[in-house]
Amino acid sequence: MLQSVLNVFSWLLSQGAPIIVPVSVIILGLVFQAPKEKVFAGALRMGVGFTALFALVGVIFSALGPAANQMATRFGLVFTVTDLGWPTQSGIVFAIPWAMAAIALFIVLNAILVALGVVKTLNVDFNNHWIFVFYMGATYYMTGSWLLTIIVGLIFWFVSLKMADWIYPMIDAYYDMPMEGITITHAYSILWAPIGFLLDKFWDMIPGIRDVQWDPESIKEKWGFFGEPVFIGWIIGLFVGIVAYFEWIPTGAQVSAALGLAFTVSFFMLLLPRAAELIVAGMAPLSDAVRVFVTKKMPGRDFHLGLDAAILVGAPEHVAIGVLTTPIAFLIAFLLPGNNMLPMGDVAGLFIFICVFITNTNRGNIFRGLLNSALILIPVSFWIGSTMSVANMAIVEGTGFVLPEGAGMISSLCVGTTPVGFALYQVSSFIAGIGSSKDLLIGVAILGVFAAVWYLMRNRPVEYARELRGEEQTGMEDSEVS
Amino acid sequence: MFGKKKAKPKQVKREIKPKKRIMLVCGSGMVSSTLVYPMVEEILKEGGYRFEIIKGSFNDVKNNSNIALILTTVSPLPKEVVETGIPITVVTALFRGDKDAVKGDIFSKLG
Repeated sequence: MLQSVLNVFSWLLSQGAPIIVPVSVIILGLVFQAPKEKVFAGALRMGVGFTALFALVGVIFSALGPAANQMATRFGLVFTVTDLGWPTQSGIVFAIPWAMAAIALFIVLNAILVALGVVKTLNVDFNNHWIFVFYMGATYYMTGSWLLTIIVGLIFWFVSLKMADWIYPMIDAYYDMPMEGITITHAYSILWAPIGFLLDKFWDMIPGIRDVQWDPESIKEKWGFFGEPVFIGWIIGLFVGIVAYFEWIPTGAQVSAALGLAFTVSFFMLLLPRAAELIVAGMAPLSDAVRVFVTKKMPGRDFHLGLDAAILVGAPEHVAIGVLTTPIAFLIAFLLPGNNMLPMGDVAGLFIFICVFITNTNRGNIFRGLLNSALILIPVSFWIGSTMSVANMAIVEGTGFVLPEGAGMISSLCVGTTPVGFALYQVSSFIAGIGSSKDLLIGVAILGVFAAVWYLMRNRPVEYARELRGEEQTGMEDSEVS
Repeated sequence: MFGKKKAKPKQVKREIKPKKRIMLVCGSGMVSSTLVYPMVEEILKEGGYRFEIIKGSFNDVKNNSNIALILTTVSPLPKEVVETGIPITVVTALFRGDKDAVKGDIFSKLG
């Protein structure tokens, strides 16, 4: 009897995401008392979402693989890694058998910490917890150590909560939120806030840069077409196609190869959100149930609600930065020494979210936001993103997420946007004996710089909120001269 | 089915309400809007509306016509969305599960 139960379990664990994720959602849904029919419908959607995701990834690789090979042989441009984008990346993470359970546990633990008064923020952004699970998964599948996995996850998660507490005062002052008690727990973007504050102080000291102020509206009008995923996908495909296949006076076959690639990438960009949406929709009943469970058990304590940075990106400066960072990130990918990741999935739609806290800490000045992104945030994202491809492949293999043959390595820009998670992973891989002392050094250096900058800027959000509120009454007009 | 509320179903029977087209938008068009979708559906059903919900990012607003109401988790929405003059209700409170906080606003804007 016991043996057959164990057999069922080992069969289950060897299944791919389309089977194991729905099963784990149903089990957790029952544990957290979600309505049964909703959980079942959600589980079904997730299974379909994963099937769609696999199909799309298959299509894109069969088109992009040959082109990347061509490019490598012709120009020595070595893109050994493909950036699959956050919708696919989060799909890979949710395919880790214990991912959903880990997220549910994080939220329950979060509620306990709020009740104890250790933190003030309750992170209800179920979906975006995947970044913590990603670095846990990277640690687990690379080192095999549960202890290190749990430590990496807990530290990364706790730092993000503390950061959300810390930036809370500036959110309402800057955005004039529709309700009280909202903060952002989006680890990818908020962990850049201390650096953003520091850079703002730094630019204030540089003559020439000090006085540059760019106006969001005109930029969006000029460059707005870059925002459409269909268009940007097509351009990326065409560009890669031309670089990979064209000779001077291209033949008909070369033109059709490039055009074919353009439409395939565009198709991928357009349909990928549908697959990701199915996965999120399938998760909704579970995340609802966890939220209800947690708030029901909470004593009447006051807390902030931690949400996705996506709720802020409607501000014109963020839209403009989102638009402008797309071509910049694409250029950086080709010019950045040490980058071997071909930008694709995340290049068009990611930086609008990630650059939020490197822009709003700079008074929404687009010029500074762009400078901060182009000089630091985007290069770092490429470096870490391509470095994490090894761990990403380990997760892919460990979870049975099927990549097409000869697909090469995968990773994503979005996992590169969290140096803190990366640093913790580096340190833990050294401790486990698979990392070099260089890995340890990089990890410790990142953590050290992060802690030092945060400490230096520790009073800044409160101060900044006061400045913002003061500015509203006096000379807001003066600061908008371009 | 509607036993508890006696006044409203009568109104519904008297004239068939025209179908309302409602956009539910968030930053990416993928995550936040998908998560609050079921709650928005429940609210609109409670109000007795016939409705169609179009989900998307705020950039998609311009690609649709005859929108009666924009529900959003993004605040503030970009100027060009606000300038369309379509009524907007911010539904961020739904992340707390607080349907009552937004219900009144939605009903009054839908008429």
